[in-house]
Amino acid sequence: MNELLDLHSNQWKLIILPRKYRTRLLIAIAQLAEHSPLKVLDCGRQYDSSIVARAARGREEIMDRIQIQRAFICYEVVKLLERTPTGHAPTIVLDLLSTFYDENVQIGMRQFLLQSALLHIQRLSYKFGVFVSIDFPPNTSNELSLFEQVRSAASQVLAYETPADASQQLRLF
Amino acid sequence: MNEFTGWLLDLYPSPGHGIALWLICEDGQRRCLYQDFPVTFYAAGRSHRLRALWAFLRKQPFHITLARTERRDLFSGSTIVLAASLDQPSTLPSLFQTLTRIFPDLTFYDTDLHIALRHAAVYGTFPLARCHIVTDRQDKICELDVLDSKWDIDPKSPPLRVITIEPDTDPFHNNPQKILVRSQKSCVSLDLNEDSASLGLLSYLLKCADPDLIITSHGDTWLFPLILKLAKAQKRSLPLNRDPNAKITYRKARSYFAYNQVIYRGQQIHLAGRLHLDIRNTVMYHDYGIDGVLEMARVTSLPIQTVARVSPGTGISAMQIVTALKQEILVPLRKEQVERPKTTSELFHDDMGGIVYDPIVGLHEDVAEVDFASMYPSIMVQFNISPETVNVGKKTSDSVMNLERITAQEPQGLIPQTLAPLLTKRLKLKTKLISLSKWDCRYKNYKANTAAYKWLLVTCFGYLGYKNARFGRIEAHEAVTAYGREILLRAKDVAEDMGFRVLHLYVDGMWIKKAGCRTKQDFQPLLDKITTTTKLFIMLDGIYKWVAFLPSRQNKKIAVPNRYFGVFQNGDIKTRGIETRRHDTPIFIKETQIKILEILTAAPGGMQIASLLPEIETVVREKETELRLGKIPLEKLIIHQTVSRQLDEYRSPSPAFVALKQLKKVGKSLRPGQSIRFLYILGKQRSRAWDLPYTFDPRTVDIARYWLLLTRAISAILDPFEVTDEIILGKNKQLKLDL
Repeated sequence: MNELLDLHSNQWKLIILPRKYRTRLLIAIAQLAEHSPLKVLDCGRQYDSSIVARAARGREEIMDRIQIQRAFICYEVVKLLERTPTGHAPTIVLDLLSTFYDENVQIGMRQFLLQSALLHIQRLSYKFGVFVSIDFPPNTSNELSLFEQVRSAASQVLAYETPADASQQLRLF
Repeated sequence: MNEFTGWLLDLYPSPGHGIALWLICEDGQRRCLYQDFPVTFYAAGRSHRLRALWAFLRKQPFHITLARTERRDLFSGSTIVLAASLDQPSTLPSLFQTLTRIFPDLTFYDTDLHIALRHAAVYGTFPLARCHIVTDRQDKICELDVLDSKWDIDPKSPPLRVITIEPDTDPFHNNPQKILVRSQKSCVSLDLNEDSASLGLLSYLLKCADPDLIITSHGDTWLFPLILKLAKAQKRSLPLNRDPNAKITYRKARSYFAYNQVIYRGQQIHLAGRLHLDIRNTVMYHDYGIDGVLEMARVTSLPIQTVARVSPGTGISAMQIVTALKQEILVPLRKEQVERPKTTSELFHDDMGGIVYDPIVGLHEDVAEVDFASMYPSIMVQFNISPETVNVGKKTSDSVMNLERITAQEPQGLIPQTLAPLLTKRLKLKTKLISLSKWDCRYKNYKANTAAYKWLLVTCFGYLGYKNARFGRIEAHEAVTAYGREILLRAKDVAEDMGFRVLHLYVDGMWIKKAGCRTKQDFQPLLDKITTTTKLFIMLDGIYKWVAFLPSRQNKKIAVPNRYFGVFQNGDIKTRGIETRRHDTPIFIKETQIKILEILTAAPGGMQIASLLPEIETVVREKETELRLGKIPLEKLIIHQTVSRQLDEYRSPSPAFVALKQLKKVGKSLRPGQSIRFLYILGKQRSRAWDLPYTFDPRTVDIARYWLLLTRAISAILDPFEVTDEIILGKNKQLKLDL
C-alpha cells in the first residue's frame, strides 16, 4: 500500500478501493507519516484516529505530522479543497465521492461541485502530488456518471480487484 | 374597518393576495384574512455574477425590488449581498429553483424558509397564537398584534372542532370495507363499496361539522388519495380544504438516513384553512399526542400540519431560523464551514463523545440515580456554545478545564439564545408537574408538553454536528461533549469524596450508593455540592429498592452500559436495553417479561425473592402452555423490524428479507425505513410476512423459536437473582441457545 501512496508532483493518483479496506489505507498513511508530514482531507468519515494512533504505535510525533480536516456534505468538500493551500505536504483525499452520492442534492449541482473539486485537486497536485481514494459506485446512472467524471480526470487510476474465488479443492475420496 | 380577536390556525401564501391567515374568532366564526407580506432573499458571490443575477431578476414578469446591501453572515461576519424583495411570496419557490440552476456558484440566503417562520420573525406569531387583528373592508389586514406568548405555561386554548376518520382495518394488511367518521356529536360508518352514497355523506358530514382539525389513520397514504380519486371519478366536490381557492398540497414519500437509522416518511397531504394529521404518518405523536404536537407548533412556529410530520431536529432548526431572522442574520441554505485543521492527536482527544464507565454487574440495593437536567442544552446555554462562539480567542480545552464560558463575547450566541427560554419553560413545567396530582386536568397536558421539549432539547445537541444543519459546526459539537465529560468526571469526584460508591456513569447520569443513604435527604448534600462545583443543575431521578446491571449475553464477564432494570422505592419499574424496550420483541414476550418484573417489585430486598419463585414459575408455565397450545393470539407473536435497505441489497436471507420477498410476490413493496411485520414459522422459509393476503395456518408457527425467545427474556431478568434454569424451563429440560 505504501508504494501506491508514492506521489509525484503535478499528478494525482486515484485508487478505487472498497470501504472495508480503509484500515489498510489508514495504516499506510501512518507509515508514510513516519517519513514526512501529510495532509489528509476526509470526505467520507473514513479517518479513524484510533486506527492511525495504533499504527503509529502511539508516537505523538507521527500523529502530529498528519494534519486532518473533515467535510460532511459535498458543498463542504469543495470549500475544503478550495481553502487548502498548495502548501508543504502531500495531500490524501479519502472517499472523495461519498458526499456526492447524496440524492438530496440535484445531480446537476453535484456534477458542478465535483468539477470544481477536481480543479482544486489538480491545483493541489502541482507541488507534491495528491492521492485520492473512492469506493466502487452504487449501480445507478447518476452515481456512475460521477464516478466516471473522477476517473477520467485522474492522472493514474488504480483499482482494487477482489481476489477470484479459489478453485474448489478436489475431493480426496 | 373590522376588528377580530382569535387564534391563528393556518397561514400560507395566497397567489395575488400576499398571504392568507385563518383565524378561529372568539365569536366562533372561522375567518380567512389576507395580508401583504413581501419576502426578501439574498445572494452573495463574485461581483460580475451578482450583476448577472441582477439583470436576470429585472427581466422577471413579476415585481421585484432589488438593492445592494450589507447583512451579517453568522460565520463570516458582515457580507455585501444582493437583496431581492418579492411582493408575492408564492412566486419564491419556483424562482429559487430556477436561480440555483442558472447560478450554482452563488450563495443564496433566506430562500427556502417557511412563510410561517418569516411571519413569526416579523410579527411574533405562532400557531394558535391569540391575535388581535384590524382589517379593511376587503379583509386585508392593517394591524396585527399577538396577545399571548409561546412561553406562557397555561395559554387560553382555542375551541378546536375535531373529527377523526379511520378505516376498519390496516389497508396494508387487508382491504378496508368501511371508514368510521367521528365528530364531537356523531359517529358514522361509511361503506366503501357504496362509493357514491358514502362520498355524498362524507361531504355532508364535513360541511356540517366544518372541522378545524381532521385526524386520520392512514389518511396521507391511503384514505385521502382514495377518496379524492373517487371524488374526481364521480365529478363530486369534497370540501377537504376549507379554503376553496387553495389547492391541496402533496409531499412525496421519502426514505433518508438520520439518527443512525433509515427513516421513512410516507406521502403527506396538507389542507388549506383546516388541518390534517395522519397519526400513522407523524413522528412523535405516539409519544406526546395531539397536545404535544400543538405545543411543538407553538414553540417552533412551524405550522401544525408540518410540525407533526417532521423530526424534532427540524423544529429546533426552525427556532434557530426565527432567532436569526429577528436579528437580521443571514440564513444559509446549508452550512459550508470547513473544519479547522487538526493533528491526529487533537482529533483523537476532541472527537470522543460522552463519557461512559461500565457498570458493576449484578444486583445492588438502595441505589440512587442522579442526572443533570437537559445536560447538553444546559451546557450550551451556561457556557455560551454556538457555532460563532467557538474558536474565538481562548482555546476550547482551557475553557473546559476551568469550566468557564467558551468566550467572553456578549450577547449570547445564536444557539444559547434559542435554547434558554425552552429550558426555562421545561424546568417550570417539570416543577409544576411534581406538585400536581395525576388526576389534575392539567397533568396530561403538562406531561405532553415536557415530552415535546425533551425531544427538542435532545436533538439540539445533535444538530450542532448534523451535516444538514444550517447553523451547525463540528467544533461546537465537540466542545459540548468536552464540557460534558469534564462535568461528569467532577461530579464523580465529588461523589467519591463524600464517600459514595459510583456503580455506573453514563453521559449525563450516575448510579451511586452509600451505606445508610436511603432517602432523598440523604442525597441532597451531594446534589447541592455537585451543582455548585459544576455550575449545572443535577437532580435525583429516584432511589432504587434494587437495580440489576446486566452483563453481555455472549460473555457474562463483560458489562454492558445502559442495560439494566430496577424497582424504585415507589414501586415504579425502570428498564433499559432489555426485551421490553426493544421494538422487535413480540408483544407476548414483552408482556411476560413485564409480568415477572411486576412480581419482582414485591421483593423486599435484592436477593430475597425465594417467596416469589412459585408465583414466577406459575406464570412461566402458564405462558409455556399457552404458547404450546397455540392460545397466544397471532398478533402478539408478530416481529416488527425496520427495513434497512432495498430488497436487492440484502446479502443474507434474513427473516425480514424472506418476508419482504413474499410481499413483493403479491405486489406489496416496502421502502427502507418502513416496518416489516412477520411471524417465525416452521419449514424452509422460516418466516412469513404478516401482511400476505392468504389465510395462515397457525399450526405452522415455530413454537420452539418463540419459546427460546421467551426463555431468553425471562433469563435476562432472573439471572441476577441466581435463579436456577429449572424455574424457567421446567423439570428435566435444557435450554438450547443456538438457533
